[in-house]
Amino acid sequence: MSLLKENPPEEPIIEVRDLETWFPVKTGLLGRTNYHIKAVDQVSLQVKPGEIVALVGESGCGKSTLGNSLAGLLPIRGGELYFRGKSALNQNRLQREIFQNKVQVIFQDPYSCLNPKHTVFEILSFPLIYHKICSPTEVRDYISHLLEQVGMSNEYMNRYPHAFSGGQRQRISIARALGMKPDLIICDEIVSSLDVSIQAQIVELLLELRNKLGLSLLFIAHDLSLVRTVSDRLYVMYLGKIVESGNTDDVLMNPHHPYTQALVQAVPTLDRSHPPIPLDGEVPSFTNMPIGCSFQNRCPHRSDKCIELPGISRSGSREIRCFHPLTEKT
Amino acid sequence: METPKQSKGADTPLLQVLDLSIGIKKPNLTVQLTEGVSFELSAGKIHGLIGESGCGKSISSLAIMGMLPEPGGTLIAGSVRFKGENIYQMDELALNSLRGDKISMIFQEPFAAMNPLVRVGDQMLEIFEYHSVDFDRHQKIRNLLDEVGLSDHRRILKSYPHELSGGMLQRIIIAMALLLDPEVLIADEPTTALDVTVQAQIMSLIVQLCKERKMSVLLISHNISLMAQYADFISVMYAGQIVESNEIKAFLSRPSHPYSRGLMGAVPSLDRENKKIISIPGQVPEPGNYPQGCRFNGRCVDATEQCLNEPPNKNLENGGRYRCHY
Repeated sequence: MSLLKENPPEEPIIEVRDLETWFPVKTGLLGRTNYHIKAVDQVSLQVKPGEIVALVGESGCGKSTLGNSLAGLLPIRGGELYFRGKSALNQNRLQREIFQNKVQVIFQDPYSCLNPKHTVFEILSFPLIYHKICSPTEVRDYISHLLEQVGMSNEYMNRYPHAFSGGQRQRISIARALGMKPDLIICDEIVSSLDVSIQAQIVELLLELRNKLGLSLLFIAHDLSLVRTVSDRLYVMYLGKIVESGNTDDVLMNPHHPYTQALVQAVPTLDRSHPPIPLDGEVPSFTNMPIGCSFQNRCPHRSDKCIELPGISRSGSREIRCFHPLTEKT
Repeated sequence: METPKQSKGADTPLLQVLDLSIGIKKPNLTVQLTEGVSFELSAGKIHGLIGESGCGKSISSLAIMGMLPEPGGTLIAGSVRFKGENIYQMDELALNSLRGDKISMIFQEPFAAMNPLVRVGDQMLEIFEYHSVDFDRHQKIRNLLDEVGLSDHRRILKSYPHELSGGMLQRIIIAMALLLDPEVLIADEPTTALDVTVQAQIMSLIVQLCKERKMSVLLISHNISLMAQYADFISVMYAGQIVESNEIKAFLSRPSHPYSRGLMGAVPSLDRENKKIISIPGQVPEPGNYPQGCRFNGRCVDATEQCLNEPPNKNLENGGRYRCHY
């Protein structure tokens, strides 16, 4: 059974333009909606077939919200969402189901995303039967094929999640996502709760699956060194907005946005002669956002101009949202 | 592993862990968790303890505080000496005045370490109910908050934990750990739950406090880059044993144990030219189920006949030690 898909090479699997996801803030006794916070604000992003795209940023900057919006798990307030060139908004229920099957999510915590009361076989079979991916007679064969793909023995099929380690559970989650024959898997911090040696195993597995099945991955992470190893392209997010994007190596080796530079410099390396440089201050809360550039209160290159919102400037494949981009490598 | 050499001259190490073996008693057997763990902490230095989960890092750090898990946690052999005195021969009262007073601890998860129902200020004051002090408590709390870089005292002391960010809470926890001016600080994965930018802030704070107060810090982490940046000495733990320990520079330039090399290869790095990472195949063996001979033999690519039978133990000429035949 081949899970490989043929695509025209250039058409993005998923593309969003000016996507916005808002959350209401309710106050008072009657719970009236007072105002909204823009957790995802004017985000444009695309993932091409077979590409691994990373989304990085500090916690609370809207990475997961964006991931969930793309997967159709959160209502989208504004903007456009295209799946294989067709708008994925305002679909009927059937179309929506098809779209959601093709975009799968793997969540961060391998301990809470598998139901402890079901065996691995049950966990993997429910979505297959519900969405009629394969007939009930074939389910067992299909599942052992899935388990094999993620490097697990099919003896494990009748065990319960508690019998597995974090890394193995994450493999089960990957198998569950693969079962739907997805085009895109959104990996939301899937290795951050694992040990380094296990992290490396899971990352190798993902890269192997990408090569074998031609999957696209949106890799949400906060570990820049991991992102550099995994991804082809990178989006840096800060307070709901994409502040910089481009090829991973270009962006990380030669960041143009001061925030990206601060992130890169804060990562500890094995080289003691380059100590990490902490970024001062904390992420402002969404309810108390600075007007204009959202990074202005922590930015070393701030000027009077920054009280206005910088537009997106492009050079080649790089996009950046800043009035004072860094040009020289520092 | 034999007893570590006494440091030269008069300065005996502040805290010595000698051949520590800890087990968990089950109804019909005792599962051994660590075996022969030895290291020492000296004033003003950061000692790193690195290893994967389940390798015995945290249980060793709990043993230093005399806090073996109940029920079943037992000391099989070895001792923990604080200024030469074995804490396992102290009575409960003496031990209580040691914990918090002389040896203090920062835990991994800032949100789990605080009581969500009690205001931060009250939680900080609570410490003084069990430890009598002769200084002005409120003043001390304010001084420490300044020291950890939190200046808005009134707001912070009146807040509940959920009203503060992870980085702020971790700073408060560090401040709490320092309230009684401890001489030893155990930091168990202090930045794992935090973002890199906050991690850099917290770590430079810990280093600065360590140097200023001549405090000795045991830094437990699984992040080797973090160790490379901040630790002075490093001990690598694997399956309940310390498989390699050395001064950090010597370790980084030439890791001797294959597991240490594996760890360094498995870490993705921003600065390395070659960005491929190499995973270590297999999994950490379960406690009680450790292989004969070298405990790494099941995952080691160079394992030979000798590795299956004899447990290795070697010294390096520069004072480091490692457990490998090759």
